[in-house]
Amino acid sequence: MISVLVANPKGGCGKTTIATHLAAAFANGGLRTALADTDRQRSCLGWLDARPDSAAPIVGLDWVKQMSDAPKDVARLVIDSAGSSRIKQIRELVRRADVIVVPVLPSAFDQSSTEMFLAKLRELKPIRRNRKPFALVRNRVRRGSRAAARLDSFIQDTSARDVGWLTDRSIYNEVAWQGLSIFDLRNRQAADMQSDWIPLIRYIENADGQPLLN
Amino acid sequence: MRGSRDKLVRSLAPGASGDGTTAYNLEIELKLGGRPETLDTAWQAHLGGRGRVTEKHLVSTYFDTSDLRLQRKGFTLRIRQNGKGLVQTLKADGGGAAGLMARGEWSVPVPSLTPDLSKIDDAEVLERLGLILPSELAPVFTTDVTRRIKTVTTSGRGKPRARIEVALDRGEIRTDDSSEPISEIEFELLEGAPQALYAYAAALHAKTPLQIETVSKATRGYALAAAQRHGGSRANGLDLAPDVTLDVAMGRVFKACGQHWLANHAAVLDGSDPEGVHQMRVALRRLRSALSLFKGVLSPDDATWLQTEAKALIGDLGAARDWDVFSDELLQPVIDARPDDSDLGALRDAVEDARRSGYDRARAALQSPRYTAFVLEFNAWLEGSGWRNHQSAAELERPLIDLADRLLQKRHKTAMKLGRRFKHLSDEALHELRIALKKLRYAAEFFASLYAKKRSKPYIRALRQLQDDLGHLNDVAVAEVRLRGLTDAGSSNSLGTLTTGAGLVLGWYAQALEAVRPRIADDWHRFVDTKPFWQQHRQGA
Repeated sequence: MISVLVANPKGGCGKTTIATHLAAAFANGGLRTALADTDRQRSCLGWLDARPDSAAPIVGLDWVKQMSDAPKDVARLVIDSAGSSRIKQIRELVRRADVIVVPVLPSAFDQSSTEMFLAKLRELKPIRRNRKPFALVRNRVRRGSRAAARLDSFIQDTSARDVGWLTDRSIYNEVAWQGLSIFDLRNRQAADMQSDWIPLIRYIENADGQPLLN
Repeated sequence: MRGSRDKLVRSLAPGASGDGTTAYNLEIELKLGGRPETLDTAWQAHLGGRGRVTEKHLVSTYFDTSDLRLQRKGFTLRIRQNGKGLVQTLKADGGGAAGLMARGEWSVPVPSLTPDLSKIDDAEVLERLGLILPSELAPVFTTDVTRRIKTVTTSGRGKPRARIEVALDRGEIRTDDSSEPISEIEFELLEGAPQALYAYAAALHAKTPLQIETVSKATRGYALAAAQRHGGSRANGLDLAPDVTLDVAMGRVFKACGQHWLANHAAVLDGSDPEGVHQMRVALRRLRSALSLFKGVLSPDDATWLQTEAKALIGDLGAARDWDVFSDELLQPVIDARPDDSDLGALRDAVEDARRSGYDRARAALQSPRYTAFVLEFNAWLEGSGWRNHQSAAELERPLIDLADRLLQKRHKTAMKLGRRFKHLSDEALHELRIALKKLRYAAEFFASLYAKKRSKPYIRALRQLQDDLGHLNDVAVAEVRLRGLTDAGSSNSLGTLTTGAGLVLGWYAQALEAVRPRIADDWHRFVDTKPFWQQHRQGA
């Protein structure tokens, strides 16, 4: 099993979108997938409730009050961390994760709070000792914009692994209401958008081979 | 029919598994290569005649992700056009990074040249593959072959009856910017005993000389597309049950030696990884050691034949190995310490030439008719459990452990005797001891799994350490002999600098060896103090 932690205490940076999409991508790839929600707003669990029976199945895990183990035959576990996680909880989530993905938006406020979060992460032993790979993914990017360019140089400065960008598209929002993701759609536009996710997915999937270090 | 059903394949080129103990009905495959004209001759002169020949034009495109994930996980994915339609086949080859995973094949018709992994419904396979988006899969290379197939039946004059499908492939492997010819004959056993397959191929080879081919078309395609080289490979551990019989144990031991040997065939021909020649020599020395361990049970003719062939081959690989060791382990450190020395520079050039001709000789040996015959006849002998013709069933049904106890004790005693008064041993005596220890080590490694690991491990570790350090002495001794050959053969105008360079290197290590000797003495005493594992508690007995 590979478990992926999607974390960044800054609200609205797209943790839930990324967590639900990763889970749907794995499930559509024929992998038995679980999605754990630690957020009191239970956004992921709500998304799972709305998910139609015809879509690739995903097991929901309610981790709001307490963390539990994923069922034994699960091949991929995606963990959506709460907005304002305390360091103690983050430490435990990091312990359970094989890969950590930190979404970051092209905005000055987001970048400075992400920087603080990365500093906190680096104090955790497994990360300090280079034992847990973690990567930054740019979310809601308008390519070619000045904000996107600033985000590029921000990521270079952090020396975290860069796993590309997810373009800003209204469709992410539209499908979310239906408990779906772009990985559940079978059309040309969805296929194009899925290619945004390839570097992130490759990064996660390679975590079952040799350790990937930043 | 190929590609039309799920199957498990065992081929001459060994994967990690395939010890013949699995419950699956393993398919036996063998491949021989040769120049197109030679193969045509073989086909027409000796395979022609009766029987229907089918001809197919097969174009297969292989797909992978940009980071070659499928290959790293031990899979190949191809879509094959066979005239009628398109068939997608995912193969787990059991080799590569996949370790001990099972081999298998999953085939399904597809409408276009676009691979579709969603048609695979095996959860275990999907989990090994991980998530791969459809848009990530791109063509890596294409094989384009004309395949002629016929089925032959062997029988008569004491030979076992078997049905064998023989396929002659001619064509090429293509990538975007390069190509390479394909010219090989594949033998697949449809019915009958595996030994018949090797015996049949050996008989064909006796009429038209062919070469052993251990590399699959897919592996060759990846090598071409991604500039991958064939590296050497080490022996897999041998896991014998404590109550194994002599008969079964011999089959397992000889098979392990044969697999280890052929796993390095491609690497020796490639020549870029020194491990290839080294490991093939190790495999053949292990084979010789096994032959001498089981001497009492084998027919003298078989033992002599196999010993002679293995010894000759080890000899043909010797120059390549000796110059690898000299160049990488002895010469390079001296050059690093004295980078501007022109005598060393001249020596290095001469050594490179010698190494190259050593590899030429090794390659020539592997492509010789004698080698092909040795591989085929050895495998026929192994698959037919050749020792059964010589020994009574009762003898072969005895537990191995009785023999193992005796053999280990004998080899241990020999080593102890040769090592007596260790500090005063001459170079010759040390050399003799090293050989005895090597034989002891191979025996200990073959039989270790019969005993408790807790006991065998410290013994083998101490033995290994001692042998490694004695190996340094030997490397320098070998270097001296080789260098003498080099300076004797050198032309008069280069002789001076070569002799100076060689003297410099040998002098360097003469000094170093004096420092090593006390450590070797420590190794020896540590080994003497380690309890032999076979006289103690047996696992499960």
